[in-house]
Amino acid sequence: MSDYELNLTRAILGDHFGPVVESVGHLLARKGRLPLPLIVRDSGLKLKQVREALVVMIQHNLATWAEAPMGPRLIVFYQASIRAILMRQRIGDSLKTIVDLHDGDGLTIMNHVLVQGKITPEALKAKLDWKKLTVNRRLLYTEVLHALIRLRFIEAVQHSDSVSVDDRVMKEDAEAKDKLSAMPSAAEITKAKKLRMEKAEAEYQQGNLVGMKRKIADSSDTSALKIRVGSFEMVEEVDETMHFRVNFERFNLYLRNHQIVDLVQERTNRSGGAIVRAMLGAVEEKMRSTHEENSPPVTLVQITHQLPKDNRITEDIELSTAGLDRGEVDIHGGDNRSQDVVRQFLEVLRHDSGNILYRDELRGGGQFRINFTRARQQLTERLLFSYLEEKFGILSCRIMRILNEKGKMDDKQLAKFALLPVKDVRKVVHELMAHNFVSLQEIPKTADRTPITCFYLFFTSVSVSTDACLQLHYKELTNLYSRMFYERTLRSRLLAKTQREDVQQDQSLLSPADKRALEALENTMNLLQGSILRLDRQVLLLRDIA
Amino acid sequence: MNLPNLSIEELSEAINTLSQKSLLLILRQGNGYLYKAKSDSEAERLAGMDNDERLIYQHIEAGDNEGVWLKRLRTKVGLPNVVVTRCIKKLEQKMLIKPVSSVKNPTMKIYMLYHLTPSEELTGGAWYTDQELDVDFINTLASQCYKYILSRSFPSAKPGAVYGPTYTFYPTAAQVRRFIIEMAISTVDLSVNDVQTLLNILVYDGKIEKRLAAAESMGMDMDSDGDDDGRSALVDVPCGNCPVFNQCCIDGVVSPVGCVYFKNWLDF
Repeated sequence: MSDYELNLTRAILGDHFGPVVESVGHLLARKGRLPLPLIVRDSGLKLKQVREALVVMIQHNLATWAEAPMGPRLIVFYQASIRAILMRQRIGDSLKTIVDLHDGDGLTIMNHVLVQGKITPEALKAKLDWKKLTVNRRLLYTEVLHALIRLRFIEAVQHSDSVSVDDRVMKEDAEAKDKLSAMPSAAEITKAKKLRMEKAEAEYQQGNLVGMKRKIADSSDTSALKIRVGSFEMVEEVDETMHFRVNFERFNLYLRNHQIVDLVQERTNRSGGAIVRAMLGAVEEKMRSTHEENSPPVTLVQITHQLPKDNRITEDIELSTAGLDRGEVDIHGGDNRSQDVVRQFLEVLRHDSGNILYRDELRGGGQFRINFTRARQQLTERLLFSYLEEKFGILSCRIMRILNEKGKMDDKQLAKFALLPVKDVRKVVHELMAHNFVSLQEIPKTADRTPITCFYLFFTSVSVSTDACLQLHYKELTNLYSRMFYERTLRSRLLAKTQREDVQQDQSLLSPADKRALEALENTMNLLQGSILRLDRQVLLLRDIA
Repeated sequence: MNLPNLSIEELSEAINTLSQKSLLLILRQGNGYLYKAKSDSEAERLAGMDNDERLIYQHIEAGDNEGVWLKRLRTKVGLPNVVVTRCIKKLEQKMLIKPVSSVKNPTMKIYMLYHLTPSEELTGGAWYTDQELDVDFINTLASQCYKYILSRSFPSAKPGAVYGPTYTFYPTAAQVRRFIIEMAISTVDLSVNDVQTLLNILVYDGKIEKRLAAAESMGMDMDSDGDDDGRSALVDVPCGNCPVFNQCCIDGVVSPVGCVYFKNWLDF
């Protein structure tokens, strides 16, 4: 883990929870698992403060704990979950996704879950003032809550979740070791590791929905949602005994889909984007994880139905077939001709050299899929090259693409392919090398490996470049947080004044200068937070869906 | 050799005479000898030379349009350096050979026959002017090619639209070459391979892309509009282009708190 990542973790904790949680969280992130006395000693805080900070972190799913024997005693270790902390940046985009799908009701529920960290349905109802709500509103909220749980935006917390991955691995390893009579061989250790990973993957793929239970429908029950299972009419209801929390992984999937639509729109035009949006929208609920290789198949009819009413597909494609390009075809008519235009557009997308969309030949040829592996690759490449172009100029993109395509090369060969003088190529390559985007391999001509007689070959590795880029993101994000904190401290007195009870009731107590300063602060914050949001979308590509 | 009317003695005498007049070239193959007649002009050229000069001339001639490196010539002929230098000077004066330089090794002394044009290997091909890569020429030509491909990649009647799947008029490298010739953009004669190299640069720059048509490969534009929606957020924040980004840390001399770039950006 890099320093940049740790600093960012610290900045996020400070921004969201204040200085006490920040110092405890930073300590845990930096040192790994620690028992309570050591946290108190190393952080220099009071025992009560440390306890409270740990409670906050555990409540918000940012820390885990495990009991482990140490000598004759059983010690409780605490560990920060760095991934969960970094994921908190995605709250804004996640809320936006919920608003798009479920409007205000979804947002209200999400807000309560986020504020509480973990929440029971009962507590949620108390927050929503359940008793004062009308029957209709209750039904609406229940429906939305069910949908959020069914689509896994909110997931039930299980006992296993409170133990960190490391602790779980250690426990499983210990169990595997107990079964053996002698010291395990290297092969046995590898086998055990492989088995463990397969088991984890199988559990993830199986992914039974936890937190919902079914019972036979009661005809008098109006507020419940009925589903048919076999010949029975069942009611699905939320398990009241469970706690629920936000599942950011699910949001990653939706946010990735957004970016794929943007990518296609950029490559073709708005209608290309609209078609892919329709395609993904039709099967979004069926998608399981961001690691999938392909989307579920979608038929032409499904895509046509999912398209918005005011689409302009006929305007956005030039067809040579007579009668189709006159812009008079009603896409929503469902007739063959409108489908034909969509089909033609899909063919354009299919032949696009991005190869993101493909036709599933096994299923009779009428179904289309998105290849997520290719899409992921293209999104990362677009991100990387747009950065390189802005930072090092177009020549760096040229050289990176050549190296990507051709593998290892020396500067003279590079100059030949890039049609550039060798000295220019050297300059660019060395600059890229200084920023970890290009690496060097030396091949000695003679046995004594004299530097002057070596061949020097340059090469790039996608994973190394991606990581270099990710680290830049972390550092920039940390800088933005620091600046945000600084701007707030600069105007801390003014902010304290606005919090006063009398000022909150009567805004006229603020002088014009105060108001101007507040406005300036708001603009600054918007700019900084907007940049954080945009950078986080790029982090999604580089870290979470890769 | 079978010349029925001549005896061996007569024949050897004739060959000796011809050889003295430089009208005959004697080649060796295995254990036997082969004889080759020379044209009058060539014979005339060789007649004025002494043996050393002739030897050097013949080695240079064997180099064809690739030329012969002076150092290699010396080891091959096995004559003293002074003699070789003198002979070369003489041959140069008679305008029989000329020195050329290679783009790859500009300091190497290479000689070839006077009337030959140096090979592409030496001159560097169409992209070199006076032994130097003509970057301006390449860039101008590339941007013209890009414009041409762009005009053929999107329907002009419908802005923002794309061509349907049956559109087959995306230009091929050969068509781009014809365009360059017809518009007289380049004074240099470019081959299809040269044009392909040029188009490859555009591909590497991310401006066009290669598609495999039924018969040939071709270029097609992909940046449909010139706007920069795809701009990386990394460089929109001042840190992205900051010259002291590597020195920057929270409690260092350079820090985001006291950063002038941040101040300018936020006050904008």
